[in-house]
Amino acid sequence: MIEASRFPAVTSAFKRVSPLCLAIGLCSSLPALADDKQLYWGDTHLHSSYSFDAYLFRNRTADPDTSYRYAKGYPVIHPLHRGRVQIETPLDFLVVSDHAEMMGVVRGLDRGDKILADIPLAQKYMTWMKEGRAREVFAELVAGANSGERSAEMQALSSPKVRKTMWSEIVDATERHNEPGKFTTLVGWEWSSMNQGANLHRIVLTSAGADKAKQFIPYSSLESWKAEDLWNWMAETSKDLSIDMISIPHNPNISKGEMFNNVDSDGRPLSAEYARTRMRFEPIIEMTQIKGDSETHPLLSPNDEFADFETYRFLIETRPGVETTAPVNTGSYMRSALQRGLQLENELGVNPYKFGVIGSTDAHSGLASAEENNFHGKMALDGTPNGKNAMRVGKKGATGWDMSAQGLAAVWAPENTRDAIMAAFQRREVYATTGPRIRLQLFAGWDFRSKDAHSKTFSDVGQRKGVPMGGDLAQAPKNKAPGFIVRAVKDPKSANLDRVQMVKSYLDAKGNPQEKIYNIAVSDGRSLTNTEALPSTVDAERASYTHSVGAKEFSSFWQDPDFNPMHRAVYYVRVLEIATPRHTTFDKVALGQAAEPNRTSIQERAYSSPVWYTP
Amino acid sequence: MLSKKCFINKHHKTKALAVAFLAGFSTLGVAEGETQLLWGDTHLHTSFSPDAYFLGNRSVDPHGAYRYAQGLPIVNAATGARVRIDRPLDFLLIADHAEMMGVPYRLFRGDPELAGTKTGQRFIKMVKEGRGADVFAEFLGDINAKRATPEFNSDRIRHSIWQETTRLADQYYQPGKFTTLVGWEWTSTPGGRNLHRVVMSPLSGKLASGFIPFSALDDETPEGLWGWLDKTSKQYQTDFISIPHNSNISGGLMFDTVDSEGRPLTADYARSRMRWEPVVEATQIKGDSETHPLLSPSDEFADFETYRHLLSATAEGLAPVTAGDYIRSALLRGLSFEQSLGVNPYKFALIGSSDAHTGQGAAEEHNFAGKVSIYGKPESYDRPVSSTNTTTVNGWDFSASGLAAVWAKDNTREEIFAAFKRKEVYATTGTRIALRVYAGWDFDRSDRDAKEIAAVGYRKGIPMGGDLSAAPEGKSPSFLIQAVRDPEGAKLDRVQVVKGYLDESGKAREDVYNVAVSSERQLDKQGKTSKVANTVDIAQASYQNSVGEDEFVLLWSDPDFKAEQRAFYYVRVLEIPTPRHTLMDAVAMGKDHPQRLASTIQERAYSSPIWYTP
Repeated sequence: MIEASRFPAVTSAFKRVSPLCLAIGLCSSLPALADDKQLYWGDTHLHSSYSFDAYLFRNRTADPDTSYRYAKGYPVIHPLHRGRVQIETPLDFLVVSDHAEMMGVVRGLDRGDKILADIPLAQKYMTWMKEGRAREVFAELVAGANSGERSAEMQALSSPKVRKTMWSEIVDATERHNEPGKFTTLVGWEWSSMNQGANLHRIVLTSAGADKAKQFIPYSSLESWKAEDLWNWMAETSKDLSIDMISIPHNPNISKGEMFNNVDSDGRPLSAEYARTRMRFEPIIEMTQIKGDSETHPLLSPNDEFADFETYRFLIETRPGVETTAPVNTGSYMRSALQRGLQLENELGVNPYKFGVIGSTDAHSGLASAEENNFHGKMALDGTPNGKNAMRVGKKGATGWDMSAQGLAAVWAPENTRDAIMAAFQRREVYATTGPRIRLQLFAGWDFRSKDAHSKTFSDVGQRKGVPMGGDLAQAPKNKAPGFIVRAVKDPKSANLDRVQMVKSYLDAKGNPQEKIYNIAVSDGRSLTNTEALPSTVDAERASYTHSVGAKEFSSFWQDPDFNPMHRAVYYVRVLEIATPRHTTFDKVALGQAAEPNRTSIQERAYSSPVWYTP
Repeated sequence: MLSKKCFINKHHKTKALAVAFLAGFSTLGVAEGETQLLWGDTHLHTSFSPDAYFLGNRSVDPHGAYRYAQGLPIVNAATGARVRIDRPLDFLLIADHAEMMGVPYRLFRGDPELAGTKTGQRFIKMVKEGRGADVFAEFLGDINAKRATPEFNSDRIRHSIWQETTRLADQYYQPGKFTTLVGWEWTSTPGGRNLHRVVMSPLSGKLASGFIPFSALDDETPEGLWGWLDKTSKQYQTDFISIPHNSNISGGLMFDTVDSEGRPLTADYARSRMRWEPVVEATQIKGDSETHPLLSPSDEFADFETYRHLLSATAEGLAPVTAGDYIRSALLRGLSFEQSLGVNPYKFALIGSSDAHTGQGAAEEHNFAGKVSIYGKPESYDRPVSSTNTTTVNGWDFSASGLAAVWAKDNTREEIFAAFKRKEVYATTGTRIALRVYAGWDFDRSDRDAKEIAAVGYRKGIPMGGDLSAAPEGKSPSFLIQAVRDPEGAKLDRVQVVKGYLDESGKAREDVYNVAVSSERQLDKQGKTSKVANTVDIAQASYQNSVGEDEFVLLWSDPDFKAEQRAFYYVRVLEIPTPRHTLMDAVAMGKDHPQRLASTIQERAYSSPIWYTP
């Protein structure tokens, strides 16, 4: 194990007190004592059989109750293959976030729910489903959602009465499974907005309990496809009910650049007001999930050798004759969005894209599985090796082979409760992994020294002398560069670590965004500057790997060698595991087929939430 | 915590445990003595077995079975889901039924030699018409009635399938790493009473492909089988072992007092039996055959995975419980025969194995794929195998058991076979408890502190499966025992020594001694202690390792020893209670566990016995 020590103790005299005060003063709220914080793992994006698409793709049985049981570690029945499945390590929290649109309706159609029986379109769809034409029902519903126009008969499926009934069933299950201190359930749903095939989906969640949650009907894209309207509704509802709400965008990678756009939903340049509203409701984004990783793309980050990770460009698009491959642009990826945020802050004085990052699954199987060797599919239908072929929407759509077995939301919070988890999201003291439980701590400040990285009271020192991930630094003291202490510990049940990297983005003197990646700790005695790739230990014919390379843990101090106090900057840490078999390789071996050549193995990773520097 | 004759050294315990967990058990074995511990299954069926095929395993053939055992993911025959063993096995014997081996598998794949026959065409047509169940009934009915369709039972067909089986055994053999043993099941079931044997050989597949595996259609008496083994072993200059299983459903025939003709056993019979049958499969999916509460009423752990469902679809009532049906009573019966005949016909070692028909084995409770693939999904458990059997068995009844543990000098066909022959093997119900047992006259307390228990064990005593005789004046046999829990399993509740002997009047007696108990419990004057706490959370099908021991190392000498009495001793190690596999299924379905079955079990290891002869 090597640690970065190119900039050991800063030579100039320390001004301990004032910068520290400054750093804390700029934080949105005074953080709790570091040692009081625990690491909690969860999934904020899981669909059950109440989601119309989940049901149509063969999840007819994994309802919210099943979803919570699986996450808590109970064995459950897989909705497709009917075998018993069990998560290897239970989660600490879960949001069952079914689509608000048609919530519970397809399930209700199939079960002949009384509340739907009188609706003419419901009768037609009930017949189709009995005839095995579930895919056609799906196509109609998605086409309806994409066109933005819904017939009166389709609207009948979404009457307030229907919606309220379905919503209370979900909220009741959520309430039943909440065990403060042990397992947290948060009330949430998905606002599934599509603008002409551009994915603008958000998970909306609240720390409120059932009593409050039952007083509203979850806002859907049937009301509006515009995020501004969603935020308006959130503002009103949270005010009326005195509750906290956030919305979490996901899959910018298939948003055609609209997720982090430089214009609003009406095509107008972003305003300070827009930025403020967005930051009030969207402190974090879901950056990595089953439909791919949205950190960056090789076209955007050509010098980043690890940029092409679980790239996914299949638009959610069922309209005939329409392009189905997502374009790659600034508005579609997290790193470029952070850079755009710096530019917009320059112009507007407010950064609309100052977000923390988490991972989650977006599984529609009710099974929050981000474990590569225990992944149960995007839908129920691709829950078996052969099912991975069957699962395809449209001729050029993604199959089960294209899906990723990821991700997880990691949260540093003083306790495992709704309020504490919500507060961690709001202060961005959270991070993303692609499935493994890599323990990651990051603190930034002006006075860290090399030995702080190895302190037994790492988080105390970090908290005392700096800000945690998600925090801010501003106005560098004279002749100082920001220092970072990072500790990354491997998932004890997963692979060793390859390296820790610092990803820095900044605006240069001309105001143009730049990015640079520093290796700040690497395994196996390699050089930090010309780090060669580790040999892969993956045996593709056995779907196995060894622990013969990599490190169990890194503790590292790093100080920005290229720091310019005049440049806005944003820093986040990326931790890479050694190569391990991709979930599809397990399936290929099981089928007795050769592994897919270009995606036999992956390097799972953790992404910290960023720390921003403002001159 | 301990009886006066039983000593445990705490210091040693801690050290040995650290070594065990760091090094893993296989390497521990190598370091400690001449033998290493290998884990395997000598009784696994694939889609080549006709009943496996008809009962839902259409896809897991020997390729799949070997791959699963070696730790590769495969596709489960019942669910189509990907499955993978937690810990690979060291050896595997695929024991497909010799009777009609591979016939349905090849027939329904359109093998012209089978599909072209009159009966083959009829069966294919019936299956197309959705009458697969009728085909199954007719097919197996014919085998059981010994009127197998000659078209399917020609030497040519039998040989061709056997050549494929043996070729695959050689293909997957990796000496030193993974051993495939050539074998099959001889499936004799006279009148619904189970006399099945797994036949094992040390031969290469290439050599074994020269003969045709002897089937119950050739002869349904064990004597007939032994005759064939005798002849064939001479012809091929090799050896065989035949391993009886499921004595619990043999209707008293497995360890009978008479031979197949109903004549009292003779010394010749006993010698012949011991020539071929040094090992018995004591525990498997169709229940545990150690003993039964009716036979061992004072043994509080006797009612473990009791299974009394006779195999025949027409058999009426539960299998009887007699001395000929269980291991302990058979060992006792063996002492009596030795007294009368001079030879003990029931002087056998113990192993566990699965008898799974899924190609997947059954050792892992949480990874159990069912006895047959139609029980590979929890929601199918209520379905009976046969509606005509009055003792109808269904998916809930099966036990996720067991494993064969072998102290072998190397992981090769020859060395594993040799360990079976010298009885240095033992049984577990699926867990990987590492168990060393040595008996001798000269062990002392300090031997517990030995760095290598095996080294002192072999030097001063004999290992499990061995013999003691002619006690030195004034001495009792003492037993040096080391039991280490499965590092991925539950902690240990206790170690017991089960003693069987003939009393002054020649009457068979048994005693169970608690020789080490966990969790600071005390033994009372009768040597009894309280039950270990049950940590199982029934609602979640989980347990905590918050009670029990990681390891026991102890020395025990028989306080009731009489030098003139024949006796045997074996060690039973119990884990703390854990969820039975069916509890996980019940929880998964959100249902209550059936009342008639235990929802928690204490998994266990049974050493092979050590005999004392005056």
